[in-house]
Amino acid sequence: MSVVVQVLLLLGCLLILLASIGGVKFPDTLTRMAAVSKSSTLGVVLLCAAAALHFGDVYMGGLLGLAALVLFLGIPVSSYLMGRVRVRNARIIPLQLKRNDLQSDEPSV
Amino acid sequence: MMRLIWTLEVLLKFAWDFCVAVLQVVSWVFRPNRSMKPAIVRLPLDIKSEWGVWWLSLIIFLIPGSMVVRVRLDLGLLYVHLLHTDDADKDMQILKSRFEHKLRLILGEVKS
Repeated sequence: MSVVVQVLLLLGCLLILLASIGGVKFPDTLTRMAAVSKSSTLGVVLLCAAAALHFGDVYMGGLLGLAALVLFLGIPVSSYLMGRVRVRNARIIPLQLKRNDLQSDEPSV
Repeated sequence: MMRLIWTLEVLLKFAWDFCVAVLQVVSWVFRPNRSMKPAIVRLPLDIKSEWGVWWLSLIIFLIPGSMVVRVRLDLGLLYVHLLHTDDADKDMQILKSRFEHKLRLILGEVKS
């Protein structure tokens, strides 16, 4: 059991590390957000799973499951709001895009 | 009864796509930025209900590498930002066929 916990912890930490490296390396805001917010979600969920297995009782498991659920519901909302603001400002600070349908559909935005 | 099976199917497909996409995003950490092709693509929706749009955009959001940057409920459009895409229209088609039709079945918008 402790081996499983350790493997999960290692994987989670590795994912969060790689996500944050991506956050430094990627070219613009939207790609950075894609890297940081979503890969680290899986990382944190893996950490939660490891903790639940480690403590191994129903109360702790439920609590950590709830934490993971809140994460899954909260991260999309926050990153949607950030992404929307960033896209609105794309005229002032250009984004690195190969194709932009939003610009061609709504030139005023 | 069928709804339960469809829901499970969507959940399993989502879990699979989620893991694959995490690996894809992580693999871009080790590849040069030059070859990355980000794009904002429009996705015309067949789903009409607000719940359906909500679920679909939640799924698009949680799959790493793609996120919704603008929702036009009046026109039935989502604008999706993709981290990397070679053929954006094909990716949109895959997204639609994998999730949207099943979501419509679950929400009872179409009969199978």
